[in-house]
Amino acid sequence: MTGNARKFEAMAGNAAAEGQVIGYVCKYTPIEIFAGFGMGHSFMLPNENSFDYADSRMWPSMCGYAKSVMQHVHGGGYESVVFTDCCDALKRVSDLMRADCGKPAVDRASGAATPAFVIGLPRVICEESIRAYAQNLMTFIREYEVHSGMAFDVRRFADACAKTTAPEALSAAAPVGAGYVALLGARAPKSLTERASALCALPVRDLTCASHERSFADSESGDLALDERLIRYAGRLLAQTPCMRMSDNGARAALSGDPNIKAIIYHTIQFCDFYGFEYAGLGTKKIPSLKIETDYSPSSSGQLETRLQAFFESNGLLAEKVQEDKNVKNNNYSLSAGDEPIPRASDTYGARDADNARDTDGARDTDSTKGADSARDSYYAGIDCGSTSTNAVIVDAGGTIVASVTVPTGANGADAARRAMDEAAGGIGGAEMIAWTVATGYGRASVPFAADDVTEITCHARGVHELFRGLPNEARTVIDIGGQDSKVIRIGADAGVAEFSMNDKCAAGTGRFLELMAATLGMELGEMASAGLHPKERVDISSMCAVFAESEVISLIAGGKARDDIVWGVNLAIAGRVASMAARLGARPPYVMTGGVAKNAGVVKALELKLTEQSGGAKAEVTVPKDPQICGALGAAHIAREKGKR
Amino acid sequence: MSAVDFFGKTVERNFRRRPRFTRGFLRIGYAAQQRLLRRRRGDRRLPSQAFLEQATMRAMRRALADPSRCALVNMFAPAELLHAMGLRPLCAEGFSSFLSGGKCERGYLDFASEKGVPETYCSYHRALLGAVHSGLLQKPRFIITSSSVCDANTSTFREAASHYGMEKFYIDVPHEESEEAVAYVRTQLERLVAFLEEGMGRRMDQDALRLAALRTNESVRYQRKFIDELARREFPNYISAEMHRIIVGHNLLGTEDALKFFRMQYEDIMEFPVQGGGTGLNVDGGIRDGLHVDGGGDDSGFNQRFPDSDPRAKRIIWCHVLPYYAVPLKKLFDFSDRYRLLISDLNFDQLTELDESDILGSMARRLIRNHFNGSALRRAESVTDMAKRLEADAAIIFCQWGCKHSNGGAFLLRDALVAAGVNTLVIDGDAVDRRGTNDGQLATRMQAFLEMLDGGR
Repeated sequence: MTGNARKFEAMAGNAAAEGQVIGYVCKYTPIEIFAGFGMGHSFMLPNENSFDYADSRMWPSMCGYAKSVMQHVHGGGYESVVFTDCCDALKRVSDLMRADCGKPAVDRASGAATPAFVIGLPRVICEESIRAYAQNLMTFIREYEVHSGMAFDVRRFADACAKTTAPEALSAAAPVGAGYVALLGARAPKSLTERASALCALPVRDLTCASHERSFADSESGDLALDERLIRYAGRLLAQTPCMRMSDNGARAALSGDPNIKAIIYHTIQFCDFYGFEYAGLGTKKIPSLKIETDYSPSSSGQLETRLQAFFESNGLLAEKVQEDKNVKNNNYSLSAGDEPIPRASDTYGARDADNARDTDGARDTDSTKGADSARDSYYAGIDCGSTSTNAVIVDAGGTIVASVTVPTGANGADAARRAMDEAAGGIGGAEMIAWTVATGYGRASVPFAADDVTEITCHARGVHELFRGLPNEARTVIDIGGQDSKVIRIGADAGVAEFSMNDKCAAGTGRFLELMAATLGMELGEMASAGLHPKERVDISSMCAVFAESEVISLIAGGKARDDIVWGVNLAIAGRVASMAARLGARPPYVMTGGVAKNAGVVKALELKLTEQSGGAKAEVTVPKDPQICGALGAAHIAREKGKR
Repeated sequence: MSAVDFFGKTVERNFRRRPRFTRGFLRIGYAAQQRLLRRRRGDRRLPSQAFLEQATMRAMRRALADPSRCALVNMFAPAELLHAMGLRPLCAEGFSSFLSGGKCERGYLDFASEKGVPETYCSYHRALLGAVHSGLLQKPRFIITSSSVCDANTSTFREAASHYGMEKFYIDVPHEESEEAVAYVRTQLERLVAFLEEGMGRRMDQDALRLAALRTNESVRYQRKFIDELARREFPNYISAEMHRIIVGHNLLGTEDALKFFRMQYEDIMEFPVQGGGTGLNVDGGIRDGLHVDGGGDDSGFNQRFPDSDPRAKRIIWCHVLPYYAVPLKKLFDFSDRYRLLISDLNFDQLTELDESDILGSMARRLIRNHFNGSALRRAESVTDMAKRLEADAAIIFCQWGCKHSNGGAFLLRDALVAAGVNTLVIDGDAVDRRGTNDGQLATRMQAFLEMLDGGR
């Protein structure tokens, strides 16, 4: 037994007792050294609902992961936290924690601050940097000895290294050689990894910066001096696939270069800017990819679900189970206490039975002698349950629109859907005439009478395709600015979704943004749509944040700026944001704009201007269909027609 | 339409399709501006301040004029090595400031976003990348950056190098000082010298390097003396001068222009009378008695220039960059006798002399010791010390959009300053992107803070 080990035995049961864990945030952290102190480790992937404590200590525009770590550690449970100086945001979290150590009652659980250690992590990989990192590891060992009162046990450290013989995967890895979906980019919140795995037909492999690839087995043999052992250990730690904070990260190409990757989900964290650069570089690859940006809070799960489902849908990767669940949903919906009984979907709006599946071909049939089933199979409905309005469209067997209705969504999406459908179906002799119904929009899952639900991304693309098919301006790009979000959808050669982009959890760039601005200007939305078409002066308004923009508008009003000029500034702000999204997607004309905001001539004009600027001066025209708000429902109706005819 | 508005709009209209024209137009504009920056009769600027603006403008213009001598760098890249090799540094922060000064920033910021640069990215770096991607900036001879002090240095210069298809040089700066850390950086600087020599096809002129180091040391000594005097004299200042000083105190260190400016600045401050208060440390570190003892000071000169000067002006220290286009700030601080803008902490972050017998080693130490490197607690300590030394009444911490490095430690810095009895305001905005700073909000917050200060008299 070495002197250190004897000292450790004597100290057993001291402050850092067995069972206690050290939290850490970076894959380069020397967790095997923690074992040398008899300490456990826990990689922090917090799932905090609120950042109230973190926001009280940090400026709001910080990375959500850093804030969630701050919040999480504040909740207690860690003996200490060991950081590397991996990024600016986490460096500041460690600074704040170290400052807190001088303050009482910071940790809710124990009444004491959680100690924080910082290990300097090189950004380049070379002989000198490996030695420098080893030196930093030695410094940490000495600091931790002082902190814990324990001696470092080299034997336990070596044992821990010896046990780390294979990549330590934090999520399910795909079998070697099999196709998989790669989750790349910044560490993902649990909600993303879980939902991606649940919705995807293929295994989802976590290759984010949280992915550990440690293997020390063949480097820790023999009676090496600690110095020498640490140099080898540091070399192995730094040999992992570099994260984006490393200067030389050419080895990252292998992550997206594996031929077994069938699709990429690329995660970025708002205000963590490292990974946006890599995603931009992936644009040249042929692999379908979806970028998802989160603020690392669980509150964005609704948007996550929509995007993931749409992505897997459009690439034929949706898990069969999910598809089946959707198909049987209409038979399994339940009522909450106090609700009016809702008839079973199969009894009303066309959740058809298999026996009638082959009787749907042909044009609209008005011959009552053909029987109820035959008439019923002539109509197909799409219902788009959006955040602001709910649209219902009914098409006949030939795809001609026979009815369309828009109602405000209000507080109850299911109720709005029912009202819209009742009204629309009134024109064709009743809901029993509808053979198949597909729901889309944010509330699609809560439309109990729909036989199926499809994301609005797929539906808008389909709706626009049907409207413009074969025409000279057959759309290649759909821009949909809705009440709650905005999307840019690139239509592929097969009329399906080739690629799409959706704004993140922010009202900027959405119809809500316009509503807020209209309220601030004391205007009706309709009035705002015509104002600002002939501005005298260009005023700039922030495109980053609706709340920020609101106060800017107030300042502009106070500064005596003309109302029409302010409206034009608002239109440019929203258009700038959406146009940037289009540029990132590599969107090409002809452009078609859908969604309720398309009725706003000022926004359309601003969008044309921004897209023209982007194209280097080539005039970009944005076509608006007659009823732009029903495109999603129309697409859903056509998908219903297709499914119903099968 | 003002000349600057016309300038900005012309650039915005042309930069996508005609990068060559835009580049030429910018250079002509900067040349015209340099002429306009000459000190004129009745100019409120001091001689040193007029020279400062011309010197930075000249440096920018020269760097843009000849890509074969241009090194695209961050603010902390060791300037003396570049000057000794006859290179002209073009720094991200300085370049983007000049774009913003000409109201040209918007198009480049948007262009960068279109190329996938995150919208939450620091606007200094985003504007630079917009200029790189749009073709405004031609391929430079070198790309050099240090890891200090912020993450953006890693991403921006990697992206630029990738765009131009060239190698970059990256200096990895540890966050804490130790002899091992100094040796680690020193080794990298040795490699940087070799990198420059290979790229230029000639050896570094050691005499030129020694001369640059001597100029730096002289500049640093003048800076220190200036700060000593700032503690006890009123010195008129304005927002954009503070920003220009950042360029001279970093990327132009080691040049004759930088030395001349710091000498002139010291001479200018000595023109102003000693006020009561201040710790009065003299150039040799001794304590002065608060009286005007130097021959350079002349009360009559001061009174002629600033007849309404209020000796009780509130003394304000600034933390981080300054949005120098912001009209409300200019109204409050530019040459104000009520609110004296003392210094930004970007102008005393590296007052480290170089060791002539180990220039590279001392450069390495300077990089590590910079108070923006390492823990935010170090910066807080340094700023608090300076606030005490200058008897600052207040501090303003500017949270630059996208700067996680600085913003994350803003509350730590505020707490340290408040604990030291310095009233502190934390504000946010964007020093490059005009759309990111709300003039109305800025004016209200700033005014309320100053009213609070005035009320505390």
